[in-house]
Order: sequence, then C-alpha cells, then structure tokens
Amino acid sequence: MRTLTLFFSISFLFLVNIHFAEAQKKPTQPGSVKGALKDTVQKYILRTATISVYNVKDSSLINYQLSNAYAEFNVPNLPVGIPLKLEVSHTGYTIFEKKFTIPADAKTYDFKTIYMKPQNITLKDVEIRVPPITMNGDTLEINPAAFKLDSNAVIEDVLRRTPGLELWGDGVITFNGRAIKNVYVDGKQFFGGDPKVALQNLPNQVIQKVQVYREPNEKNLRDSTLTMNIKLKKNKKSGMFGKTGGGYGTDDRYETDASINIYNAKMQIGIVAASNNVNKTAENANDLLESSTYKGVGANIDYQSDFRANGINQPTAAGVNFKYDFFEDPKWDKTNTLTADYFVQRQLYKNNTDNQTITTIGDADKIYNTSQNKNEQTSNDQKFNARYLLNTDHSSFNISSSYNPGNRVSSNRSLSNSFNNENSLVSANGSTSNERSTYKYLNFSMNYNQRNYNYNSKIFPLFRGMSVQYDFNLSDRLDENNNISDFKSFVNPSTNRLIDRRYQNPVNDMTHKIRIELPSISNLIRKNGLQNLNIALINNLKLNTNKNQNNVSDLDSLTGAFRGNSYLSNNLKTDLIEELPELRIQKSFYKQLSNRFYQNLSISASAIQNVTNQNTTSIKDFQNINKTYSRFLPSASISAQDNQYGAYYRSASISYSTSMQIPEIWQLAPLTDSTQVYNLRRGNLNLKEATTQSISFNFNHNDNKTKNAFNMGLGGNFAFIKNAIVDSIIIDAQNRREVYNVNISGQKSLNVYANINKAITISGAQLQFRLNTGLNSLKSPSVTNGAINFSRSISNYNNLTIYYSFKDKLALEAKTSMSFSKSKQLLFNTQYTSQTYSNMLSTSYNVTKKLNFSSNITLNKNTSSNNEDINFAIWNASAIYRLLKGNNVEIKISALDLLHQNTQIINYTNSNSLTTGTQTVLQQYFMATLSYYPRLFGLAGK
Amino acid sequence: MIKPFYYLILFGLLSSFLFGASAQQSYPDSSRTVVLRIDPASAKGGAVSDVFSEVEFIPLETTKESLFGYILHLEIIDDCFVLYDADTKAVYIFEQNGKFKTKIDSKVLKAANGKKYEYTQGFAVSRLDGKNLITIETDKNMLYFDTNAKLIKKTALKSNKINGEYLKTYFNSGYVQTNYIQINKKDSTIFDLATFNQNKITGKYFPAAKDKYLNGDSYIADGCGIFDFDAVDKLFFLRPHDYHIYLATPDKLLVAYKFIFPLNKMLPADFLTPGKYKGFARMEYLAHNGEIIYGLGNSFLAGNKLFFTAKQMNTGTDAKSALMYNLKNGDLTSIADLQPDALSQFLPITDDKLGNDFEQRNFLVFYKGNMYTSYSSLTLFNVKEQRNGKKTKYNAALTKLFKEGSINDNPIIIRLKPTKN
Repeated sequence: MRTLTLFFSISFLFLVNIHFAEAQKKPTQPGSVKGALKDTVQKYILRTATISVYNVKDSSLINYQLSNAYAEFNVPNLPVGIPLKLEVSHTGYTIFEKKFTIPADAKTYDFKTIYMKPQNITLKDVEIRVPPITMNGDTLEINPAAFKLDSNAVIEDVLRRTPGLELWGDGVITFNGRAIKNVYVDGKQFFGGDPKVALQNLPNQVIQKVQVYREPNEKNLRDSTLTMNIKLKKNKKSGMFGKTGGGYGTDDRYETDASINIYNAKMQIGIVAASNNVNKTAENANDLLESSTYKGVGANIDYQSDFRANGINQPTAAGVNFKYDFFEDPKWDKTNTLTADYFVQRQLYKNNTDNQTITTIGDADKIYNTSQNKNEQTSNDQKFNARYLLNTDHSSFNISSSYNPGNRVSSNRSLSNSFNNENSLVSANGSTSNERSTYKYLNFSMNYNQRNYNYNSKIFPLFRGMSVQYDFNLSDRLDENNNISDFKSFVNPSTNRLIDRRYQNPVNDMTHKIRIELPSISNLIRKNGLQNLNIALINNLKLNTNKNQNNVSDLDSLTGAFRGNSYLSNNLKTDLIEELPELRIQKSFYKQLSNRFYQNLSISASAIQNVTNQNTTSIKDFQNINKTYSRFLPSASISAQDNQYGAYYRSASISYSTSMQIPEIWQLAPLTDSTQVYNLRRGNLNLKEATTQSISFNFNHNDNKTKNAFNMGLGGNFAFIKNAIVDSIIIDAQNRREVYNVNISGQKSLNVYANINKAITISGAQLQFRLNTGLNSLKSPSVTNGAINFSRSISNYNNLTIYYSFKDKLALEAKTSMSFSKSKQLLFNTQYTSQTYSNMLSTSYNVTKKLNFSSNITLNKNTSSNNEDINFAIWNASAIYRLLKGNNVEIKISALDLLHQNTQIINYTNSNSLTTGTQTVLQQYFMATLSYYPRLFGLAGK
Repeated sequence: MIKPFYYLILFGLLSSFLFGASAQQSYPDSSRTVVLRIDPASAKGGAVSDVFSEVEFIPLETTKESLFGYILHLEIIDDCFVLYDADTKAVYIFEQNGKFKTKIDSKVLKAANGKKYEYTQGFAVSRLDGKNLITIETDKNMLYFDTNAKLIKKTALKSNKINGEYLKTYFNSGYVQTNYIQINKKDSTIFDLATFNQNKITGKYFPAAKDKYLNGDSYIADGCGIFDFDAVDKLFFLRPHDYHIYLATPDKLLVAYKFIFPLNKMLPADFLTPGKYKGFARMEYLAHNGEIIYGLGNSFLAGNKLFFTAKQMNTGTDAKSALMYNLKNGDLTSIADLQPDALSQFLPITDDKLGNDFEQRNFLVFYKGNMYTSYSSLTLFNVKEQRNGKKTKYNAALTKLFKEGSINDNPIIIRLKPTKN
C-alpha cells in the first residue's frame, strides 16, 4: 500500500510539472487577421457574417468573429508563422475560404475587401457548411458541427469554447453575465431537467444547433429569462446511452452501477441500478443517473466518494424514469406532458460515535459527559411519483401524486458517563434500543392557474387570473421499539433503575389544504384611483387529523413477562383547523428611458388573520384540550429592479413578515417516559403561541457585458420571536434532566450572506473566482435550574474558490474555507469557541486524449476551546484510461484517503453546552473500476 | 425574429356603432394607376451618396429638462423639431440645430387646463389661420400651442361628440380625415378615409364591413395611415394588408401605385374575407409565414424616388423591408444595405439591424425635400467604437457629442436629402 501511495504522489507532481512546462513552451498568439466583406453584384456590405480561422495542419478552429456594423472584422489571438485558413460564411452566399500565414514580424494579415458571391440556386447537393456562431434575429445560434472537435466530444465541450458563455463550477451557466435559467432539448426537459445529463451525454454530432434566447416573463412582460435550447438533428431525435460498471478494492470496498436511457421525439425512458459500500448515496433515480454521465473530452473536476458523510453507507438502488410529451415540440403555452418515476433502495448503515459534552449548570458548576453510541440500520424504501401537466395559452393545469412505502430496522447501543467539576463519576446510563418502523406516505396535489393576461370576456371579471391549489397528504406509520435503560447513580443509589420497555406506536396523519387566489379584485372596483392598484383575495385553509396510539409495556422482573404500562399507553387524536384569509394590495411603478434604463418599483402589503383551532381528545383526561388561537399577521414588501442597458442589471428587495407557531400536545401535556433519564419530558398547559417577526433583504448585481462576467448577491434576515417556546431544564447533580417548555420573549437571530463571482478569459484559459461568506448570530433564551440564561452564539463561514481550466488539457480548483463559531452564556459568564479550516486543491489533467490523471488533497484543521487541535489531510488520486474508438470503455484506478487520516469531527455548541467528538467515517481504500458506456444516437429507421 | 405584438392594432370594441349598408360610398379612381412588379430580395445596396445628396447628424441637446427616451412622433413646425416621447409622456421642441427650446409636459398642461393633473398620449398638427399649431387633447379640452409652448387656443370637448382633430391631416386647400364617422339617425357608418375641399366633404372611402369590428378580427396596421411628402394638395394613404398606395387630394382619392410581389410572398386571396381569420388568426398565420409581405407602409415620394416598406414578419439579418424604387429607371434599393461613406461621416444613416428605431418607425417625417429618422446615443457610440480606431473627421456637432456626451444622451436626428435623379 505504501508503494501505491508513493506511486500516486510522484505521478501527480510529475504531471502538474509537465503541464506548466508545456504551457511555458507554448508560443503566445499575437497575430490577427482583418478585412471587410462586400457583395459587388447587389452592392451589399455583409454584416453579421461569420469569420472563422482554422489551423491548416489539423483543421482545428482557432478563433472566430461576426462582422460588425461596417461589415469589417478583426480576429485577434492567432498564431503567427503557421499556415491558417480563413472561412467566411453568410446566409445566401457561397463560402469564401483562403489559406494564409500571418508574418511573424507584422503580426497582422489584411485581406482588405473580400468580395462574396451570392448563392444563386439552392440545390440539395450543395455542400452545406455552417459557421460556429450565427445571430438569427435576437437568438444566438451555436453550431457544434463547425467546431471540429474530437469525435467523442459532448455538447459541454462545445459550450466551453463559446465566447460569452460561462460554465461555472457550481453548475450555473451564464451568457454575457446573465444566468441561463432553463436548458431544454428540443424544447423539453431532458431526463429530469438537470442540464448536466444533456450536456455531458449528448455527443456533439447529434446536435443541429444550440440556441440561446430570451423568454418573456409571464408575470412581468418587460422582464425575461434566458433559455438554452439544444436542437437535435432531424435523424437523431432518438437515441440510447447508458453505463455499466463495477469496481472492487481493498477492505472489500465495491461499487457497481448500470443504466440505460432511451429517448425519441416524444418519449424518454431511463432505467438505472447501483450498489456500493463507499458512501455514494442517491435520493432518487435522477440522482443515480446524474452520477453516471459519460462526459466528453475536457478535463473535469469530479468528486469521488463522500468522505465527509457520517458513518458507512451501503446502498443498493434501482429506478425507472418515464416521460411522454404529447407535443413533439412543446412551447410554454402548449405543453401536454406525463411523467412518472419509480425508485427502490435498500440501505445498510453503520456508525459509531464518541462524544464529550460540557454543560454549564451554574456559575461555576459544569457537568462533563462522555458517551459512546453504536448505531446500525437497515432501511427499505420505495418511491413512486407521477405528474401530468397541461399548459395552454389561457391556463395551466397540473396533477401530481406520490406514494412512498418503506420500513426501517435499527439498533442503537449507548453508554454514557457523567462527571462533576472534581472529575468524579456521578452517574452512568447504559441503553439499548431496537426499533422497527413501517410507513406509507401518499401525496396528491392539483393546481389550476389562469394566465394573468387572459382577458377572455366570457370569464367573470372576479375570476380572471385566479389560481386554485389543492393538496392531500396521508401518512400511516407504525413504530415499534424495545428500549432497555440501566441508570446508576453514584451520588444517590436510590434513584438507580433498570427498565425494559416496549413501545408500539401507530400514527395516522391526514391533511387537506386548499388555496384560492383571486388576483383581480380591482376589476370590480369602479372607483377612480383604485383600478391602478392590484388587489388580491387569498384564502388558505388547512384541515389536519392526527391519530396517535401508544401501546407501552414493561418487563416485570419477577414474572419475566411484559405487562402493559397503563400510564404511558395512550390513544390521542388531534384535529387542527387552520384558516388564513388574506387581503393583498400591490402597486407597481416603473420608469424608463428608451435605450438608457428601465426601473421598476413594486410595493405590496398583506393583511392576514390566522385563526387556528387545535382540539385534542385522549383517554388521558389532562390531554383533552381544545384551544383556539387567533392572531393578525401583517406582511409587506418592497422590491426594485434597475436595468441600465449596456452597463448592469440590479435588483433589491426588502420584506417584513409575521408568523405564528402554536404549542403542540407533546409540549402542552406529554406523557413522561421514565426511561429517558437524560430527557424527562414534563408539560406546561399555560404555553402560549409564539409570534415571529422577520425582516429579509437581498441585493443582486449582474454585469451586462459579453466578456469577463461579474456578478454578486448579498442578503440577510433578522427575526425576533415574541413568546418563544424554549426549554426549561432542571439538571440534578447526577446529570438527570427534566425538560419542559416555557414562553420567553427576546429571541433574536440575524443571518447575512454574500456571494461574489468573477470570470476572466485569457486566450484559451479560463479563470473563475467565487467567494461565499456568511454570518449567523443568535441570541436565544433558555432556563437552567430556574435561572433564565441568554446565550449568544455567532458563527461565520468563508469559502474562496479559484477555478482554472486550460483548453481540454487541465482543470484546477483551489478552495479555502474557514468557519468559526462562538457561544457565550451571559448568566454563567462562560464561552465556547470552535474553528474549522480546510484547504483543498483539485486537479485533473488529460495526458493524452485517452489518459487522465486526477488528484485532490484537502487539509483540515479543527480547533475548539477545552480540546486539543485536530489536524488531518485527505488525499485522493485516480487514473482513467479510455479504450475503443468511442471512448466507450473506461478503466479507472483510484486511491482514496492516501494518507489514511480521514476523521469525522463532531463539533457544535448549544445554548449552554459544547459537544465535541468523532464518529465512524470512510477511510483509505484503493479500487479498480471497469466501466462500459453503450452509446447509440439516431436509431436505425428513425 | 418575429415583430412584437404591440404592432397589433385591434380595430375592435366600437360596439356603440351600428353599421348600415345604406351609407353612400365613393370609390378610388384607378384610371391612372402605375403597376409595379417588385421582388424585395432583388433589391440592391450601394453607397449612401448614391441615394442621398446631404446627410446631417443632429444631436438633440441633453439637459436635465430636455432628457427624453425616444422619438415616437416627429413633426417640423416653424423649422423646429416637435417630437413626442412616450417614456416621459411629453412633447419636446428643439431648434433646427438640435438646441433645446421648450417642452409641453404635465406642468404646462396642468397650467393650461386648471387644477387637474394631465399628461398627453401624443399630439397632432392643426391649422389655425394658416398657421400650424401643436394640438393636444386632454380630458376636457383641446389645447393648441405654438412652438414656444404658449397656449394659443383652448376649446372645450363635448362629452358625447368625437373630436376629429387627431384624425385630420391638412392640405393647402382642405384636409383628409381617417376613421370618418357618418352619424345617421338610425345607424352610423365608419369610413377609413374622407376627403375635404376646404370644409366640404368630397368623398367617403372604404366603409367598414358590417361585421368587420363586431367579429373581433385583428389587423396589423404598423406603417399605415396618411403620409405627407410635402407636395401641394397631395398625401399618400396606406391601409393594412393592402398592396396599393393611394393618393389623396382635396377632391378625390386615386390609386397611385399597385404592387405585385412574387406569388409565394403574397397574402392568400381570402386573407381579408370577413370571419375567415377570427381573433388572432391573422397574426398567427403571419407568424408562421414570416416571408409573406403582409402590407405596405411608410411611403414618401421624392422626385423619382418612391420610398416604402414591404412589411414582413421575418426581420432577420437578410430581410429587406425598407426599400426605395426609382420610378425613372426601375432600380430597387434596400435602405438597410446602404454603405456608410464620407457623406455620412462613415456612420450608418439608420439603426436598421443595430437598434429598433428605424425598424419600428422608419422615416419619421418628410419636410422641404428632406427625410428624417433618428437613433439612440447608445447605438451611435456603439457603431463609432466599431470603426476600429480608423480616423474619421466628424463635424463640429458630432465631435462635441463624442467628446462630451455619453450613451445616456438624447437620441440623434438624421436629416437625409434624396438626390435629384
């Protein structure tokens, strides 16, 4: 193993050296070519013609440009002294091509005036060649065929070469600084809608063109969103792609997956299955598909197993995706789509944790607790979703439903010891619990939306633009648990107890929600001045019934039989009716000066009354509670946009809202379970509802520029809770805790964040900077042994990422993160702090078109008060070799956690405590993987 | 690219009128009609100086008072530019050299009208005692201003009577009125055009079909209406989806030119058949058939040069819509393809394919043998940048603008004088 480690370290350093040596050797590209385009027959000058410059040696495209308003061009960044070819194309003209060489001394070549010949006849057998980029009205069209890439290139490889388009490290695509919100294939979402699936799987050769255009925003016609549509070639509308692969490694580590995806003009079907014990988990079939994309020829920073995940996961999963579009070429106002997916997963999970917690209970009094937990879990889960969507030019209608049955068996063993200030053992508790849950969840929702601008006179004015939403949720659960708890006190032995208790807890929960919105109330008001206001009436009604049964029995140590526990056994039913009528008044102002700016200001205020009735019926008298809460919940918001043409686009908003949280039955009148010695629950019937008032703001700036995009966003939220429902804890000298809830005002929280992104393109290389930073501050009250303590905690995170890529050769990412948290207990005058630092360097280098080396190293440092610093590094490396003409076979050798240092730290502060520890985590392994990617596009006969 | 929806004008919702077939109607005189067979695709380009003998760029002075968005409507009265800007909803008056003179904004209208807040949706030119005045219709009054924004006359509007002032265009000896309504006791008729000699009606043309408006049919009427090309007692009149250019005189309406386009670019014969294309069906048909020439627009005659647009939904880079036909030698020129030369200081004379002023509004006015168009400072600064550092000697006005101005300045008016032949 040591040899392998050494091998990977040396090869990584060697490769990085090669690249930089090569980069230094590479000649700079100081040349340029210029000229002007004319048609002498019709006396036209040819604007927006495409000028492309190719290297004669390998026919690769070096640079290109569109001719300007004067039909002139000046293409920069070209090599001097080598044979090049100029190609000029324009609709209706025969392509002009000519070889030339830029003299090394002059560094520029002038074609003067190029006379283009009109294409008189359009014959079918005329060779059709397309330029890399054309403007068709307001639509930018990228023509992949013109790029002359490797035969295995995918569409992502083309987009990386398109000026103005930026593919960011976090998956966002921007064009001239503005984010592209939708990526479609022939106007439809492609296998779940994640752009990655289309961009990394669809080969260059099946694409006719990629279009980038603006789609108007239906709610504000002056606003628009950027959309990308990948248009497939006529005979390539059908295709099949997939993956089958398996790997085996040291410590019996394995991973295997297989997927097959078939599509045609109307239908998409994907089948996928995977199993591993290296923490590669998925939530649904799309997640699985996204992790088995083919990828093209470029260098990608690709992440391996999740080394940060808790415990060891061994998932085995399979899924099916299905989508049918009744229209071959859907539009926003002409969509008729049926989608369905099924996902089944069996997951084994193991985790051991080792924690130390310090809790402040008085001025100088602290309790020190150590605990070891061992958790094993097996879960089986199935998910079925179906959705139907119908969009017409006057309405939008959709129905969706999901069904999710499953079960989970888990066992948990824990041993915890508590010590006092003098470090002497005060109490110990050992507990074992075996749990089994079976569940079925059913959701159904239906939504009807009339389009805002639909002025069909047949509709009564009150109902114009209305929307109706209905949701139904049903949950049916059975939780069974056997809990053995052995508490020993070294201070007061009379409190020792051994309890062996069984729980059986069927829960049935059913919710109906109806929301009706009538946005055109102002249509009915004839009074002058009011018509310009946008007045809406909204009603939200929620009906919920929760049936919760508890069957508890204890082991009778004398008879050895389980006997019913009449105190804890219960039958509880809670009916909740929540009614929220809302009146919303909104007014918009705008100001514009054509070709200069467009500014928009919108002010909205809502009056909402929340009336909630909570009725609990139980076989325990003290739980028969019927309470009605009523509260006025106002909200307001102001938002503004400023679009300065040719300069920038900015938006800002500030909003105020109020919400109400009512106490639940387990907070008002719970049944106290004596096995929970460290968390004995008591009730408080006097609990009132809590009210949260919050103010949020955000600001965004986007450059409206074609090159070197810059964008930033910042925002924040301040919340104040009146009558917050907080814990009041009574801790005795043996660390036994009784907890009940009380209302205390004065809880405050503040969260602020900022994101800054900047991209720079320097001939062939791309550099991206991303900075994310945030601050969270919380002042929260709690009660410990009768004394109110306000705890102030503050945490902060900062991530700086620099991403560099050079053509298809090298991708490099450096990331540095720092997070900090501090918690201070004002009453006890104590303070806990912790800091985490992490520095990561990832690199991927294509040695040849077939061979790739990747490596990433992360250095972690953890510091916290009262504990020694923890430092560790994770270093992963892999080599990939691709075989066959289509790169369909991939052999991968990976070495993970080369330094064998991976550690998962537990580090968090609470209102009056600090917990630190470690837990089970994936550690060093080496693995060899073989994958095959079947790929077939344009099926026979299609 | 498809032209935006706001070109669409709905001739509808006039349900208060009852249409009778009995109204007397006049027919245009087609005895001297000139037939022109034209294929826009064959239009040629050329240099700016091939078509125009004078080109002048007139930057409109930018001050806090004079800052406006774009020129929706331009007229020249007393040698002053009078323009309406829909962004600021005001009428601006500039001197011939671009110097700001005054404006008629809500403040002026409020003072003229009394207490009530007012703004204007546009203006018309009226003739009073042989003098042209800026006429603005407000809630209760018709206001007449001179080019110093001085209120000359105020007439109260009658609540139930339509004031035709906005619909009139004056000859030396009479006027024409579009959408002329003849009110009868039992029923009323609306005519597309009526001609007047002095104040006497001489002809009522194109009565609305009985069900034309009630069907909710839609027409695309951009570039249609009356065009004054500065000839004594002669005006051009254009109708939606009609391949004729009509010549209105105080006494009658003539069919001056009839256009015949290649068959695959002509509208279907039943395109205007009532009830055939309901609702937005015409719009939809044209959206799917972008190459079809759906009508004529913006026509002016300067000597032998007949300027007009052959309107197509397809406004892509190769579309040739703004044209000039030489009646003497039959040459067809595409205005967008005229190459800037020394005469135009190497600047484009229109913003066709660069902005949207020319595409949407074409030439704004024809006055004393000159044609006027405009484009934004944003476009002007952009094209100047594309000169790639080539040295061009600009005249004093442009030198000053490039030195002191910015992309945020007021639009520029371009005066073009067509050559004699």
